[in-house]
Formats: sequence, structure tokens, C-alpha cells
Amino acid sequence: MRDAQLTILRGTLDVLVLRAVSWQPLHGFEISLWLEERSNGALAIDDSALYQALHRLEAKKLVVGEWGVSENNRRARYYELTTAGRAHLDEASAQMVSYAKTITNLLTVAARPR
Amino acid sequence: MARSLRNGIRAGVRRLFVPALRTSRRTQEDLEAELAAHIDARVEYLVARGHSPEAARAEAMRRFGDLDQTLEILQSSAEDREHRLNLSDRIQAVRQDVRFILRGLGRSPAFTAGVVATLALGLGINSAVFRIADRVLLRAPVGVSDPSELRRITASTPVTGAAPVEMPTFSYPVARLVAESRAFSRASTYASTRGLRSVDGREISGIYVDSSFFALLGVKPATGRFFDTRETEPGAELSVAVVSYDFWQRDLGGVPLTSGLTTKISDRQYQVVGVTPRGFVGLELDPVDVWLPFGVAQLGRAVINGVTIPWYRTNNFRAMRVVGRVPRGVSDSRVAAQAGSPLAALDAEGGTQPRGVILRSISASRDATGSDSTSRLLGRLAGVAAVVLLISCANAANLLLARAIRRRREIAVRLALGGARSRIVRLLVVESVLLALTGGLAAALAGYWTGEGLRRLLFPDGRWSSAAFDDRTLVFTLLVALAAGLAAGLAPALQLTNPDLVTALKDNRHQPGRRSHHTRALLVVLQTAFSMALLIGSGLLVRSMQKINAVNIGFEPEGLVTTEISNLSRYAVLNSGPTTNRVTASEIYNRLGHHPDVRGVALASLAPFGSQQSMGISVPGQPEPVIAPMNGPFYLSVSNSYFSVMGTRLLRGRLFTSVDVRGSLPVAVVSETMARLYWPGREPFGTCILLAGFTCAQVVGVIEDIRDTRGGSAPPPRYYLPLTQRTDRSLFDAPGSDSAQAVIIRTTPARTAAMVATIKQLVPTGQRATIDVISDRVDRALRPWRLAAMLFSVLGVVALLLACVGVYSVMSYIASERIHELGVRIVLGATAADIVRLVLAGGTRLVLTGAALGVVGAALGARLLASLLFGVSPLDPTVYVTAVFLMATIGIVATLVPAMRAMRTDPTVALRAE
Repeated sequence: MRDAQLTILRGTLDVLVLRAVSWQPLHGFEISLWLEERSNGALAIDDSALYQALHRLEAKKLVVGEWGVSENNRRARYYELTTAGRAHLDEASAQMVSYAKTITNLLTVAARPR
Repeated sequence: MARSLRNGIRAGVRRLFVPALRTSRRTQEDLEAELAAHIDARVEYLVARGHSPEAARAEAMRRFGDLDQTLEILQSSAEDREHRLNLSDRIQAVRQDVRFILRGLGRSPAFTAGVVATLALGLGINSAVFRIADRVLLRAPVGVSDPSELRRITASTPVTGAAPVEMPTFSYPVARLVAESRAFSRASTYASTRGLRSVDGREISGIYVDSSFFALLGVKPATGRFFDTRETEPGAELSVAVVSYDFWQRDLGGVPLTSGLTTKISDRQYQVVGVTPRGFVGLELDPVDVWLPFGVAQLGRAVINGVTIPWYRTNNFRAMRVVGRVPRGVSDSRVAAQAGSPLAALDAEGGTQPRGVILRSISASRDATGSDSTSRLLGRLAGVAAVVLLISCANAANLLLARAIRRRREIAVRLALGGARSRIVRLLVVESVLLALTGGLAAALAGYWTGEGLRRLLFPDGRWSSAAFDDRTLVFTLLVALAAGLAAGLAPALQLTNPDLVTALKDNRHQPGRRSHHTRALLVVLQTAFSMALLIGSGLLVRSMQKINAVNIGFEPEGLVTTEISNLSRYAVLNSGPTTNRVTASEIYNRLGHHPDVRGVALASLAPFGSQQSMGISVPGQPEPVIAPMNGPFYLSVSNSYFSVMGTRLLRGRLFTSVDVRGSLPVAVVSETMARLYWPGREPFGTCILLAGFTCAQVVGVIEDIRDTRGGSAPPPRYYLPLTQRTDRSLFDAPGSDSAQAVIIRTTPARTAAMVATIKQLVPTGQRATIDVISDRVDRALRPWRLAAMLFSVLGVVALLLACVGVYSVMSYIASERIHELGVRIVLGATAADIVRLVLAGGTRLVLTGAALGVVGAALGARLLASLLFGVSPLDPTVYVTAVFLMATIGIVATLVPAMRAMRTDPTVALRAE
């Protein structure tokens, strides 16, 4: 039961991370901040899980990581969406949105039709 | 050791060999840095929002989760990934490289052909030598199990005041004594025989064996059985034979043995009881047709004081070889000591007996004659072939370097654009390896023919041949090619990708890296040195050859034909076959006397180049000289015409005449060596030789030495007795018997073949007769020297040519590099002669340095050749001077062409090229 939950979460996390880097290259902490701010703190994701997701995505060549210099002049590893990553993001987010809609519809229906 | 090796290798090279380690370490560092940066960023973020640094760090750590575990997870998955990536990446990269290289090579076919040909030459020679050496020295005989336990056992005979003499054969009683020793887990004795004939009169090869021979070698019959102890007991006369698979198929039609298959071998009907497995030839290389039990062997007999003793009862008839298996874990020396100990008590029987045995591996001495001169020659040849390979590697490296230098701007651009140095090194090395492998493949193909040719040269009597496709030779050749490719490619690659060379981009095009000049010069010097050494080696051997040809052999070999016939009456006791319809030597002598082609004919007890006979002699009043065992004095009973037919000159005294008949004063003629040994400092005339203790033969003449033993060895002492006086007869034979077994016929060199045919017609089928053309025998005796001289000369010339190409290519390259400088010099007033002198000086300096090194190397190495030299010192000044002169001439000629080209340099063109 716990495993199933995790699997869903993991898939979700991957899509969220891809979304985060879809406008510009970000480093890990920036991604973590983006997720926190955009969800208004509702999603508290372990940094450890985030990095595992990042490296997994990199292995699948959906993102590429490259060393760069951060705003306050520190070395940081920036992740950028690849072409494959963008295609995956489009497909996966469309799927997830429609899935979420369906679930929402089912769960928020006012009354059982007679 | 490992440490110093690591430090001795340049960092760039080292990195080539440890890619996995490097990847993993970098991954870990990257990961740690990334996560640390993350923590720092969060701490900074929290501090900016009013947290204390300590609280901020604690919160950052809490938010992260288990840092160490994460690191571990990420690290291991990264490694897996990199590993997979690297593998496919690497395959991809190599494929790309190969395609890139092939395209490049295709664009310069002359260069490609040059390098491939150079390497193929060096590799081909090695492939051919390996093919033979593998067969003769390395590979185990076919069908023999556990050959590493097998030993050939030889006899060690002590000599007063000298090292013991080693001999390959024993007498039958001694062979049995050794073979039955408990020192061996199993041992066997055998003897090869000449002159057996099949039903159709063809000469076939046979070996007499005892009952344990096949079991010792671990061979099972293809069909039928092998011999039992009853059949192999000497004198048993049970006519059974084992035949080879090929003989069974070819001569006997592969008929099943159950039908009571019989065949006639040399007038005797044998029942075929067994067939050896296909390919089995025993321990020698030559195919064997039949194996016969010792029970039917008629090898000879001795008559001592009128008593006939068959070959298997005397210690003085030595034709048996012994082979045995040593028990596991026991040292050879212990086995030899134990097996040799019963020999101490042997009855001397008037001869010198072996007192110990020596164990030899069965492969190192596979020459059936027991001589290892061919193996020794083969060993030297392998060494020389390796030197030629080194020369061709140096040459290929030179060509590769020249090409790489031409591409140095391209390489510098690649390096500057961030091309990994390792990749460029790899490209250059893979290129040379590809070239070498192509050369190796060509060499392996050509090696079949050259190897077969070499086999015929080294073993002209051998009937074995090397396989058409020999996987071991192919693997050897390709491995050597790989090594050669690496060797030839690595130096130019490292040289060229040296960081200093990146500056080549900015450099003036006319100033190539000095280091590349040095490398090329070094290669030329090395090549010249090796060629020089080889040239001297072949010079020494050619001179030995000349010396041997100039040796007076004491007779005129051209047009001499001999026939040796086992004497009927001598062997009548043992011959159980039909005795009618045989011809004796005397009958051939009488019949040929009037033949138109015959210039002269003589009778002798034995033919030259065959076996030797001796009896106990002494010279009253003279001390016994020291003579090595089996080295004489030998005697020969001859007809009066013998010396004139042989062409042997009388030095002093007289030859036999018609007055020397039975009943007159017994006389003898001695050889020069005999006279010197037995009568040092005085004439032998008037004294006598006491033959076997009772007949005294007066010495009447001294003749020159006849050298019919191995080419270079000193002639043994000999004496001659007149056949007419029958002085030898009373000791050895029943009255009325005839001791002449050989007819010596003098004809013209052009008629020798016809004479051999005439004699063959006189000998009935089935009778044993050995017909020899003496000039062939002389050639065979001189063959080791001739061969060595020829093979070394060929290799020397190849090396010289390679060196010539090397010098030429370097000099013309250096000259073309200096074209700008030369142009300036011409403008400043240098004459054409100045320019030529300038270029020549550079080339000559390289060649002379190489030559000097080569002379030193040859002087050190020539000692290895000493056993192949005859009458020539390893430091023979004539050879050295000639070789240096030749090398210098060739070096200068190779330099002259580029020098002439430089002389014609048009200064305006040269300067405009700026």
C-alpha cells in the first residue's frame, strides 16, 4: 500500500521537477524553493528525494546538469530541460491533469444521479 | 616496482589505462560538491530570513534527510549509469575512430602500402620462422599423451682429459638395462631402419620397437593390436607388423585386419596385426610406414675372435634409442643418476662404454640424426628474425612520424579546440595497429609459402609438411603484429601530442618541433645499427661458407657414385629370407668395369659417408694417443684402384700395388692425421700397426685426409688395408667370405644420374642397396653452413634495404623542412656544392653513428654465432671493414638524392613560401 503511494508520488515529483526547470535552468535549491513557494508550502518534499529525482531524470536524458555560478557567486549544478524532457513533460502533465480532473470530478460530485 | 612503473609513465598515458577509476572518483566529488552547495544555499536563505547560522544549518540538515545515505544511493546509480554509458560510448568511439582512420589511409595509398609492406616483411619472416620452430621445437608430437613427462635418453661416455661425449644411441643390452631401470615410470627402446622396401619396390620407412613402445606413448591402435613381449624378443622371428594409417589406406586398401591381412616387406611376408591412429608418427617428424617388432630385426652382428655374436648380445653395436617417462615430482637429475648407475659395471668388451645417461626433452632434439645443429640454426634464425622485425618497426614508426608531423597543425588545432589528448593518442595508435594487423594478415598468408620453403631448406629430407592453415602461427603472427603496431605507433603519438606542440599553431611553419627531429634521427640510428649488426653477421657466415668450400676434402666428389650392399655371406647366418638372386659388390664391380660411362671403379669394405669400422690396434713402441670415443682410428679395406678412383693424393711413400697379395708382407697406408697422431714428429715407414693383437701390417704410405664426416669437424685418423691381402678377414669372417660391401664408381658429373639408374638395374628388387651420389652427400654435409650463410644474407639484405628506405625518408624530409633556410643560404651566396655538402653531412653523421653502434653490437653478438662459423673469427676485420664500407656507401647514396633536390632549390620560391 505504501509502495503504491510512493510510486504515484515519485511520478508526480518527476513531472513537477520538469515543470520547474521548463522556463530556465535552475539548481537544486532553486527547484526546492520553487516547489515550496508555488504550493504555498503544502508540498514538503525531502531534499534527498528531490536530488534522487533530478539524477534519475538526468539518467533518462530528460534534463542535463551542468556546473555554473549562482547569483551569489557560488558554484552550483544547474539543470536544464532537454528536447526529450520537454516532450515528456507535455505528455505527462496532460495525462496527469486529465487524471486529476477525473478524480476531482468523481470525488466532488454533488449527488448520486438517480 | 609497480609504483615506480606508474611514476615512470607520463600522466597522459597513465590516464589511458585507468578510465574507470577516474570516472568513479569524479562522480563522487561532483555529487558531494552539489549537495554541499545545496545545504549552503539553504543555510544562506534561512539566515537571510533571520535564523541564527547554527539553527539554519540544523534546519537545512533536517530538511535534507539522510545525507550520507543519499550520497551512497546517488553514487551507486551514477556508477551503473556511467559504466553502461562508457561501454556503448567506447564502442561507438572506436567505430568512429576506425572509420575516420580508414578514410585518412584511403587518401594516402602510397603511405599505407609502404607501412603495410614494411611491417608485413618483418612479420612474414617471423611468421615463417615460427611456423617451423613451432613444429620442430615447441609442439608436442601428434597422438602422444603427456609429452611433458617424456624424455629422450642419451648415452654419456667419459673421455680421459676431456668432457664426456653424448651420443643418441645405445647397444641393445645397454638400452634394455636403461629402459628397465626403476627410475622411469615406463621406458621403451626403438631403432629406425633404412632400406626397407614395399611390395612394389618403393623404399619405405620403418621402426623396430619393443612391446612397451606404444603403451609408453599412450597410443591406442586405430584397429587391431600392438606387439606383445613374445614378438619383440630379439630372434623370435615372428613375422608380424603394425602399419601406419596412411600405409594401411594407401598400400593395403584399408582392408579389415580380421581377414588375415598380410604384406611383403623386403622379401618377407608379414601379418598385419594393427594400425596406428591417423597422423601418429612416433617421436620424430617424418612419417613412418611400418613398425616391426625387434623379433624380426636383422641389424648386424659382430664376430669376435671367430665367434659370431648377434647385434642384441653385444655392447658394441649401437643403434637403439631409449625414451622414458619420468615419475611426477622427481627431478630429472635424480632419474638420470638412478637410471645410469647400472652402467658403471658394464663390460667394456674392448670398446668404450657409456657410464651414465642424460635426459633430454623430446621436443628440443627432434632431429632424428640426434644432431641439434638445425635446431640451433633455427634458434639463431628466430633471433635474427626478431631483429629484422625491430628494424621494420623502426621504419614504420618513422613513416608514421613523418605523416603525423605533416598533420601536426591539424592535431594542434584539435588539441586547442579541447580534443582530449588521450583520444588523439588513441587515434594515432589505433591507426598504426590497424596497419600492423593488415601487415600481419598479409604476412600470415604469405607465411604459408615462405614457411614451406624454409621447411624444405632446413629439412630437405623431411617428408612432413606444415599445415595449410595453422591457427597457432596465425595467432602468433597477429599477436606480434599487435605488439609491433603499438610499438610503432606509440612513440609518434606521444611525441606529437606533447603539450609543447600546441604552440605549433602560433609557430612559423618552417620550424618543426626539435624533438620530432630527434626522435626520427634516433630511429634512423637504431635502424642503421641493427642492419649493420645483421650485415656483419651475414658477412661472417658467408666467409665461413667460402672457407668451407675451400677446405680440401681429400677426394674429388663430382661424378662419384657409390653403392653399398649388405654382404650376403656376412649376414647369411641371420638372413632367413631367400638367399638366391642376390648381387654382391664384387659382381657389380666386375660388370661395371667395361661400362662406357665408367672412368674408374674400385671396391672397398664400406662406402664413404656411411658407417665406420674399427678394430683394436696398437703401434709397438709408440704410446697410445688420446682419441675421443667413436672417433677412430677407423680402417677400410680397399682395392688397389681405390685412391685413384677417389682422387685422393699420396703424400709420401707408396700406394697398394699388385705385389701386395695374400701371403706377401702385410701392408697398410695411413692418413695424414693418423700419421701425425701415432708417429708425432717422425715418418711411420718401417714400423707396423698391430691389428687386433696378431697381424702386423707394415706402413708403406701416407695419404691426404678424407673428410667424409660432418662438414667442419676435424678428420678422424684412418688406415687402409689392401683387400687382396685379406688382413681384416682372418679376424672377422669365416674363410671364403667377402668383406667388400661397397663399389666406388667414377663417372662424369653429367652421367651420374644415368649411372645410378644402371646400378639400380643390377640390384634385384627386395635386396638392400644404398646408392649415393657423393656430390649430393657433400652438399648435405655442408648444408648447415650454406643454409646459415644464405638465410642470414637474405635477412641482411632485407635489413639493409629497410635501413636504406629509412635513411632516405628521413633525409628527404629534413631537407624539405630546411628548404627555407637553404633558400636563404643560396641567396647569401652558398654554392650548389655547399648545399649538397650541408645535407650530406647531416645524413652521414646519422648513418655513421648507427654503423658504429652496430659494429659494437655485432662484436658482442657474434659470439652467439660462433658455433655456425668455420675458420672465421667472430671479429674478422675483413668482414667488419667491408660491412661498414657498404653501409656508409648506401647511407650516402640514400642521402644524395634529397641533397641533389635541395641543391636545385629555387631561392625565390623557397622564400616566397613564407
